[in-house]
Order: sequence, then C-alpha cells, then structure tokens
Amino acid sequence: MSNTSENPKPSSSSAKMTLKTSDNELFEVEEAVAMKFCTVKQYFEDEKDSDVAARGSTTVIPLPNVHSAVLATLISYGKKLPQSNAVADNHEEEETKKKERKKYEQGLLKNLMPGELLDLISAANYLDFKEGLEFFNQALADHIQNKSVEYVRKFFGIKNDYEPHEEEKYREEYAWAFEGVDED
Amino acid sequence: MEKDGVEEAFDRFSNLPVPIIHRIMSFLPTTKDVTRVAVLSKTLNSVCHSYPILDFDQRSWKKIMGFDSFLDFMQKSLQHRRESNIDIEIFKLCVIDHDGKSDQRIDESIRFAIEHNVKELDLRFGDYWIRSRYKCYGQLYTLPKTITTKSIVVLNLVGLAFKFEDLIPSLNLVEHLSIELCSVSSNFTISSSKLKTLELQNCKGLKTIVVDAVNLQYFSHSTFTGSSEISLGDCKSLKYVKLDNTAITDDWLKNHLSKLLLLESLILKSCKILGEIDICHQKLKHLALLNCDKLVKAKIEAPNLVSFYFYNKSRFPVITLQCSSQIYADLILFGISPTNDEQFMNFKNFLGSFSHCKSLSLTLPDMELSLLEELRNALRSPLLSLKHLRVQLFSSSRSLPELLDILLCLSPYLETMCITSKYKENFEEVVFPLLFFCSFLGPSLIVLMYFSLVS
Repeated sequence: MSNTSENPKPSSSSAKMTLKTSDNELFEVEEAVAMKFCTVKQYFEDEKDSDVAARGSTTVIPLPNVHSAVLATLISYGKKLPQSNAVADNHEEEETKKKERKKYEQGLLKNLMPGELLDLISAANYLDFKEGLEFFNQALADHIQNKSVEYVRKFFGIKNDYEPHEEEKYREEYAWAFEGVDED
Repeated sequence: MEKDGVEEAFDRFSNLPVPIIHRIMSFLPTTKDVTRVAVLSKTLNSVCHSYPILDFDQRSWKKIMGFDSFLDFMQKSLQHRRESNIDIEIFKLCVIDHDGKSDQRIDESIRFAIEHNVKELDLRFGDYWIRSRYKCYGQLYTLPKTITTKSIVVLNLVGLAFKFEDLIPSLNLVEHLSIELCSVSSNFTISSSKLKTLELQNCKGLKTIVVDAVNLQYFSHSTFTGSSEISLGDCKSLKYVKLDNTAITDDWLKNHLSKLLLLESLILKSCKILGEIDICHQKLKHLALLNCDKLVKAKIEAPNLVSFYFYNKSRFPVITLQCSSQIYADLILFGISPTNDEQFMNFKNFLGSFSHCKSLSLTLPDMELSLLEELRNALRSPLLSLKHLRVQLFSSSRSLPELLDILLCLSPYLETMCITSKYKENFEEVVFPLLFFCSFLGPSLIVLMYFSLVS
C-alpha cells in the first residue's frame, strides 16, 4: 500500500519521502505528513546536512521497528490532522473538517484490537509522533476507565505476577477503588 | 488463551516505557482508576509509585471516607513513595473540613512534596465557592513556616495564612503565582524575571503590592475591602490587567498606561475612585469599564480597540470614544431616565461614536418608550451596526407592533431583540439571564418577551 498521487509542482509542500518498514514495504508520504514523525524529521534533517543536492527524491528512510500495517494507520491519522502549512480555513470549513476528523477517529477506534493499540502506541513513541501518541494513549485510557482489574488484564494480556495473598491485601486496603466498576 | 484478548505470552502493556504509562494514567479521570492500575501487575505497581502527579482532593473522597481517614490515607500513600524517592512534578491538596488547627499529616505532606522538588504546588483549604459568594474567609490553615523550596514553578494557594516574608525566598523560579482568599502580611514586594502571571484575589490584610517583573504578562487583583496600593510600572511586558474593587486614582491609571506599552486588555471593575479618566493607548484591544460609579468623564483614544464593555449603575458619564470600526461594544446602561436631559445628551452623543462599528449590543433597563422615540428622532442616521438590543419598559402603554416599529427604525439590521415588561431592582437577575439566552439566538430577527417573576 503506498500513496501515489503525483503532483508536478516542485514546491516543498508536495515533496514526498519514502519510508521503509520492518517488513520491507515502501510508503511514499507527503513531506508535510512525514514531518509530524519527529524521528523521521530528524533523520531527514541530518541527511539534508550531509547531502545538499537531492532533497528527499531518492532517500529512503528505514523504520526497522515499525510494521507496515501500523505505519499505514499512523500515516492515515497524520493526514487527517490539521496541516501546519495549510491555508487558514474559515469557520465553516473548520467545523466540517473537525466533524470529519471525529468520525474518522471513531471509526478507527471501533475496530481496533488491543494488540494493535499497543503496537500503535509503541510505534508512535518510536517515531516521536506526538499527536498520534496522545490520541492512542487517550484511547487506551478510555478502554481502562472504570473497568475491573480482571477485564483489563484479560484485554491487554497483562500477566498477574502477584501472589494471591498480596493481591488480597491490596484489594482490602483500597476497597473503595474497586466499587462501582463496570460489569465485565 | 482468551480469544478476544492479546494472545502473546509477553506482557507488552506492563513493559511500555514508563513515561508512556504515566501519560496514559494522566488521562484516567478518577483516582479509583489510577489506584486499580497498581493492582494489575507488580511492574505496574512500581510504575504507579513513580507517577509524579499527586492529587489529594477531599471532595472526591467525601463519599468514601471521612476527613480523618482521608488524611490517614494520604499519609500512607506518601509513605509508600518514600522508598522510591522519585521527584514529584505536581502536588495538589484540597481540604474542606479542616478546623483551622495545624495537622501533622497535612504539614508532612507539604514538606514531602517540597523535599521531592515539586514543580507545581496547589494547596486549597476551605470551601472556595461559599467564601467567594459570601465574601468571608472562614478558618484559614497556617502554612508551615519551614518550607523553602527552589523548585516551584507554579504555585496556587487558597485559604491559607502566612507572611510574605516567609514565602518570597521560595519564589525564585515561580512563573505562575495565584494567591486567593488568604490571610497575609500587609506588604507584597516581589522582584522576579521569571514571573509571568500573578493573581492576588481577596487577600485579607494586603495593603501594598509592588511588582517588579519584567516578563509579567498577566495581572489580576481583587479585594473585598478596596484599600490596596499597587505599583506595576516596571512590568513592561504586561498584556492583561484586571482590577476589581481596587482603589486606583485617575493619575495612577494615566501613569501606568504610559508605561505599560504592550497592554492589550484592561478590565476595571468597581474602581470607585476613578472620576475623570484619560485612556490613550496604541495597543489596547479590549477595554471594560464596569460599575465604576464615580466616573464622570472618560476619554478613550484607542485605535486598535476591538471590544468595549461598559456597565454603570447610577450616572452616565461623558464618554468620548475614538476607536476602530472593527469594534464590538456591549453597553449596559442604567440611569438614563426621562427627567435627566444631560445624561440623555451624553448618551446620544456617545451612541454616535458607534455608528460605524462592527457590532453593538445595547441594554437599557430604564429607558421609556418616549425616550426611545426621542432617540430615534435625534439620531441623524439609524444605528446601522446595532445587532442586539435589549430594552426594559416601565409600562406597556403602546402596543407591541408600535414598539417594534420604533425599535426597528432605530436599528434596521437587528438580529436579536429582547424586551422585558416589568422593572426589576437587581439588574443581574434580569439582564444576565437575557444576555445568556440571547447569545444563542440565530441570525434572523427574534423577539423575546420576558416577563419577570414576581419577587
């Protein structure tokens, strides 16, 4: 899966970069979106310093810690964010864009498996993709909120390494924290 | 293995980087949620104990445990943390049931936070809403004297008793300082290049305030008794100043405005000494003169003024206003009665300055229909910019169509119109609900008839 919309203008806003994932897939991404991944931005700027001639045309940036499926979602999320170089919209356009974004976000989260969510957080952290990290962290917190300990352990595959008596002690001491949680 | 959970044997959640787990925890809405995370696994337990944000709010615990148990719980939680010896970023404590006597558990917790280099310290004692509403201080908690810290960047204190001399040595790095409903020493003098926002609200005993903070951008002061002297002239970066019931003079205002060249917002509320003011400022964007009842004359020359709020209770001053055509004005004017020709003249002239402005909202609780007619006849051209009009009438001697006719002649492009039919003493109860309601009305003209409740 790659982004192949061509734009003949050589302006920097439509410059593209190629990212290579752990499973050797290539993604062509607009510079504006790729720059939201600060790790990529840093790599790009380091490259630029050492090679003035080719500006993003042939450089392939390797991302050995990111799988293609994960990168695809992160790029897709990155595209939906307000672009820093975009022309300022009027109020109505802004509202429509906001609604679209909300709808996209809901759709994205609805079908997300817990393992995928953990992957996205790890990848967003590795790429230093701040907005993505915030968004998926919030999503994870929303999943945990008011859920029982058993549910959260099961859902995220958390290993319970407590001895039974240790856990019992904790539950007694903080009994109030276990009241009123959602049914599993 | 469960089908809908993660199937790997490796616990990826517990092994996420600690800062990420902390960030996720900061999104959890209740302390219950945060506490349960510690029970998920031993790894997460130690991550919880290094969570740098501590928030002990007695209000959230009121349903679960009493005041004494709450303090015990706080003490125990802090004991758990002593072993890990990790710095704390934010420490918040809110206590409402204390009786003014020092409690070792509270003092200990404050010292604990300071020993662990807390950056943001938020201490609130007593029921804030009741105190603000009824303008009383209640029982104040004495801040332990031995706190000297060099790490605090944000400091919020409500409901405490202390002397500034004891506090100021710890304020070297403070950027945001807010002191409210506290009992303090009479002199507050601070010199700091880090201070960005300063709020001194309703502090008992405060008489003089001298601030030398070259990077201060926001300053807000209010008092129940109105007897403070303030000096802000050296704060060249000030952008926002709000003074409520502060005893500033006309000269003070002129003096400070000539020094605060970057000022953008100025809010003067209940400044009862101001008589004749002269506001001449290039950068000023927002100006509010609210309930400054001794004001007789105001000359305002602010070419960049974007919003102007004016509210008076008794007399209507002579106001000359030179501003941009981009201005949005909100005027609530009492005291323009049929027997007062002078005020009517002042008002008429004043209204003329808004003929080209962007939007005008006018509330005239005392205006009679005959006066409105006179106004319509007196103005050479109707108020083209008037978008929102609220009028309160003594009697409904004319029928509604006639009233609407007059008002629409006065301002043909109205978007919303509010008419109240019964005079009511306390304007807040009448006008603010209307203002609130009107702000949600749509673009087509809507007329509201408001019949006030019999008190």
